[in-house]
Amino acid sequence: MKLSKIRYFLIFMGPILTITIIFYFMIGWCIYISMTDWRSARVSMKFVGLRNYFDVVQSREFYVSLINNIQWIALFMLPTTFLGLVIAYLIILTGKETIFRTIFLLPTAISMVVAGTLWVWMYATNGGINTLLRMIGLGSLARPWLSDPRTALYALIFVTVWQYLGFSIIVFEAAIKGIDRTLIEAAVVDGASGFQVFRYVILPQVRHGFLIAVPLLGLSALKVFDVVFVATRGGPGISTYVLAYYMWVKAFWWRFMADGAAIAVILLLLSLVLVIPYATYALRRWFG
Amino acid sequence: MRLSIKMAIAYLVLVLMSIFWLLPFYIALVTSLKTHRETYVTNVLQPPSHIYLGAWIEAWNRVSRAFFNSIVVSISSTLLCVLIGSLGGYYLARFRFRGANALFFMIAVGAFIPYYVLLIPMTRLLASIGLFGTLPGLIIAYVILFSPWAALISSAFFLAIPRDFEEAAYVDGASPLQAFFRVVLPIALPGIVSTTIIVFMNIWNEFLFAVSLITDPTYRTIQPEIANLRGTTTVAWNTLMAGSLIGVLPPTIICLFLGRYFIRGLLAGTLRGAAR
Repeated sequence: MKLSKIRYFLIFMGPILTITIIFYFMIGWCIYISMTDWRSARVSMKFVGLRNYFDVVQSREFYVSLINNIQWIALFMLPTTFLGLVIAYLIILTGKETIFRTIFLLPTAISMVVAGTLWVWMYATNGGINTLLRMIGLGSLARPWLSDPRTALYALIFVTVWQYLGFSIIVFEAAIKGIDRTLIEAAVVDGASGFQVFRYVILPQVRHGFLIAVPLLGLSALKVFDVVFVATRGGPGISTYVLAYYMWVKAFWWRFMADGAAIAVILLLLSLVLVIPYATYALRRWFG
Repeated sequence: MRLSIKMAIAYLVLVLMSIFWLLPFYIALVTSLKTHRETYVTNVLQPPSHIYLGAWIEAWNRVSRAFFNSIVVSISSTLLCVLIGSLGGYYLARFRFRGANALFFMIAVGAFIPYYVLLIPMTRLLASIGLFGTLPGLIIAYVILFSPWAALISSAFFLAIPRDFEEAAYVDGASPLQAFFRVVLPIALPGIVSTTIIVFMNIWNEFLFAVSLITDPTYRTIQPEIANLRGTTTVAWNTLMAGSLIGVLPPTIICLFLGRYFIRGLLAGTLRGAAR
């Protein structure tokens, strides 16, 4: 009996356990590489301590990337959660859930590479955005969005809002649907307006939706890479650099693998600020 | 009357937002159907004067190999991830064992951290077994990256299934493996479909590992190929848009026709508890 229990544990859990062990082993490996002098196409594993970290942190690219990532998190998370909640509410109000949900989910389903490519064309001098601005008489605002260092970062941040709004909507839709209908009905009977229902009944009840959307969107903004790669390559200059892109450039362009690994480790540490509370929260909901 | 005005505003906002949200797809489509000259002289919003398929043919010639590479990589690694993940996910959902919480926590952390941290060691791991730059190497990388995801998502669905069916099977003398494959999997099939869809989309859309682990253009997968098209200055907008639309075909079809499963998978992936 005891033996067969172990046997079934190994059959069911063996593969995923092995992969989890490999996974964490590789994280450790990355940390080790970040402390070596592997800075050319030739692999070298001589231990140099924290030297690469000091080099990386003092670079201008790192500073710009970090600031850009922070801006990205703030300017992406706020509109995406807020719009997600409002639109989820409006969609439920109209009752046309399938069609609207599908429309907003399309950008969520496609790759960030393609999203970036489509938006490069949208932001082009004669692309969709400038054409629309001219149509509504705001032609003076038209500009080459991605080659202007003042707008490039924000233009890219908007692409991620466009992509993740669908995700935010379905999270809040589920949260709103989880609210006890009688609460809303009681408020309506008491003469509350649509806005009052939203403000005083729905908003406080969708806390759970925020607890999911905020950390997960924050993580997405921290991980952002593909859209920068295809749309601007970090340019103009280094104005749209982000940590993940800097890591890639260091490791796979300059072949400073150890420096790339150091940036990856920094990215990992930053993400843990969000991941550990989130995983703890998920664990509690799971088994609690 | 008040109610209908409220509804009118709701519809107005939603329809305007929807139009704006679909605009990049619309512009990509009309651009891909224009001739090279027409893309420059006409307004981007204007439909093509006549349907021109030259850009689609050129784009297909350029990306078809990568498209099939991606099909091979995505399907095989997705199946492996879902098999490994659902075995583990089932056990995690059903059996309490020492260290289960810690293991769940480790898997969840692994699924949410930026997986980029595995990239550089992965080049070493694959090089050491002679699979760097090959499709099997990329498949191994994706199985390591996305099996934890598959385990978590499928587990959420297994949690939602009542135990009665399995218990009946056990009473009839079935082993856990028999119970899993003959009783649980058929009932959990919608959840498994959701898990498969989410993992497939993640792998199909993955870019960083695809661009870094494959150096030979013969083995390039679809996302790096599109990025490469975008980086090639001789490629015109109409071809680039057609190539992009070819690249989003599988996820778009899934989103349109299996949207319900996609949504359930996305929600299960947030680990908000048992998937309803």
